[in-house]
Amino acid sequence: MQRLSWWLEWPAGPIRVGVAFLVAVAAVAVVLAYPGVLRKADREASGSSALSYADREIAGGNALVDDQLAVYAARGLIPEDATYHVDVSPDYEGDSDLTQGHVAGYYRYFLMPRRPAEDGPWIICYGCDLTAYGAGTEVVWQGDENISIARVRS
Amino acid sequence: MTVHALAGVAGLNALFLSSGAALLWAVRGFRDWVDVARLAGLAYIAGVIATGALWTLLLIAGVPFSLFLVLAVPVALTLGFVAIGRRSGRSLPTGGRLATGAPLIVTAVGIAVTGLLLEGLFRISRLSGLQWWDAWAFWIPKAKAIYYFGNLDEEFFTTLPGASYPPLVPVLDAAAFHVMGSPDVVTLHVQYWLFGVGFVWALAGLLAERVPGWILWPFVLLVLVAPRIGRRFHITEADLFLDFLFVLAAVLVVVWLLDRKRWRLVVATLLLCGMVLTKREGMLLAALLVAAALVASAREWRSTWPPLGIVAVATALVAAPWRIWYVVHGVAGEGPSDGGLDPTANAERLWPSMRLAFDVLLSSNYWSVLVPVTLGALLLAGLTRAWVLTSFFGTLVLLVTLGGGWITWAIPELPITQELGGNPIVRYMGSVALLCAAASALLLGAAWSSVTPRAKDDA
Amino acid sequence: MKRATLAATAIVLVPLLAYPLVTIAGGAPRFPTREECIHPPVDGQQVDVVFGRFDSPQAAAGVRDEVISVGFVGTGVLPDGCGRWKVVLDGVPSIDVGREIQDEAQTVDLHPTLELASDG
Repeated sequence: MQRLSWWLEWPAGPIRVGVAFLVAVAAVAVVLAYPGVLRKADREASGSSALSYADREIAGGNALVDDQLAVYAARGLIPEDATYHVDVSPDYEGDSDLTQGHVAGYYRYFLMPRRPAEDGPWIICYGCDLTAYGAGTEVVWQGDENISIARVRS
Repeated sequence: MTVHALAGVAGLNALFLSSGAALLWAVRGFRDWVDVARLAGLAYIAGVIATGALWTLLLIAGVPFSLFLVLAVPVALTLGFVAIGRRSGRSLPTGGRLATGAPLIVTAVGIAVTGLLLEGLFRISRLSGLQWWDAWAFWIPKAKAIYYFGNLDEEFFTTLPGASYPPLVPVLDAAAFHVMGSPDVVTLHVQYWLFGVGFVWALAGLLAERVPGWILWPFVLLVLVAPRIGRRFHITEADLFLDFLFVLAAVLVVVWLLDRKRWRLVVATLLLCGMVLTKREGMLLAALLVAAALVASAREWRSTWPPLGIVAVATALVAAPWRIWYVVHGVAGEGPSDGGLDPTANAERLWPSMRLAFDVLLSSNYWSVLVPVTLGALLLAGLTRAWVLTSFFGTLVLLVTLGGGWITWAIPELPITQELGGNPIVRYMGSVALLCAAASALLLGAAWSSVTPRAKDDA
Repeated sequence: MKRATLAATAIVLVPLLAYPLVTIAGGAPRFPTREECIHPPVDGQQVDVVFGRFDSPQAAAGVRDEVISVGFVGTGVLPDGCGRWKVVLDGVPSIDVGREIQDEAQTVDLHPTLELASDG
């Protein structure tokens, strides 16, 4: 330990006190936050671990897609080299306000390497009017949330 | 999430480390094994960027991105750097002596407490789902496109949000997918955690040269506990990754200004190249970093400005191919639509935009006490006439903050808000906050050593 | 090795090894797979007779039709909770009855498995 005079001598003393003070401020901030960060990490890890396989896989999409089965059905039904179109009716009322604007982007991420295309033969329909796609349109999967997957035969 | 995927990630990261260690050995050499351990984090980050940048440039040039390329590039880089090192007469590291007494114990406590927190953060990353909008909206789709199609698929790369963002991070993700055997977005979080570990290690290793352990470790830990930094290590987006490169490059450049060891500038140039291949803000941050270095070394401009000019030119050359690619493919540019340089345009937004940037900078809700402590450290270092450090960090913090204000001001579509979905200012200012951790440690270390002759022995 | 070096090594290693060991003591690390949606049958509870799992509901429906055509009326297609569809004869009261159905199915070259009933 240094003597008191070492901390008070001019001009070095105040600089030493200043350095020690700022390091102490940083150290106290760390000490106060550290247990909380570890606890939060533990909570988050437990939360992630407890998720079901589907909840973890769909993750950010859970707030958008309304029905996990629709995402899985689309992946199972649409061939990897096929194109598809996500059609969300302006009147579609999903569980979330985000569905309308973002669900197509989520399908684009989830269904890769399948490519989205306006004129794709596969339609992922959120309350849309499938008759608009013509008589050759066949519903191949129907979910509970007014979501369906259809194929347009040319 | 499988053992195979984790093993693949481990193997890939071992290759990053080997290529970076070989690079450091070639340009710097290693004194002993303690030296190797201290710089292993920097070696890892350098390996990530050397490998990732080369993958990116090859991809832009049209070389198919395959598992073979993923493995061949780091192996070739390792062998190449080893050959250069041998030709330069580098010797292998031997032996090594640790510090003794109190500094050794302080370092051990610092490593233990930091390591414990990183282990806690690993637990978050291991089973995390892909939750973040930017991640599933474009970062990961770009990575999947590279993984599935082996190229910069024009359809995805020109239509996804953030189309003009450079592809280094998606390339690194795609490489991880290849070694995992599938686009396993859960295990990918572990890769990002490893980037975080590499950064913390690199930062501590670089600073330990000049900063006593009792000053250094509180700031390393502050990085990990600051609400908007350490807790986001696992997030599969490019923001923090860019900040890592920026801060390490800044430390290397400013210490180069002090000791003129050329290897620092070589590695800093590599990191600056990584920045301009990571995000569009990377161009701005790289330019501001070089500008701050020019200001801080103005007194010795004859000896410092030419090398800094070479750094700037090399960085610009690496940045060019991606910019050419997106212009050729009709993607809108990275800057504001009107150029953002007309001071009369959106004049009413200027002051609110700048105030927003300073409000974010000074928010302890985001960065804990990092910024106020840095302001105090600048004052103390200034009082002890550590001019280079003070002017470099003072200028850089100010320029980057003004840059944040400029972004909001120059892009009128951005609302003036800290709301994360509306304005990128909080993400962007993470670079300043992280810089403050490194700056505080260096500034306080310099102030302390100037008034405590024995401090250097303690470092 | 000097005492200070030993102490430093212990300071680093003890917490870094203890933390994962304490965590693992609460249960081995999980590696989630789609198999986590397959639950073994339990004595005294209803079972499902499962004729297969498929990524596509259409493929599952095709197998269901074949299964029904050889006599296992009541077989349906249900999502399994892990992104697949299972062809399942549900509501079987016990493991013994389930085994009898398995034996019967093998006579027509089907090889169903028994699982704990989804709602069981």
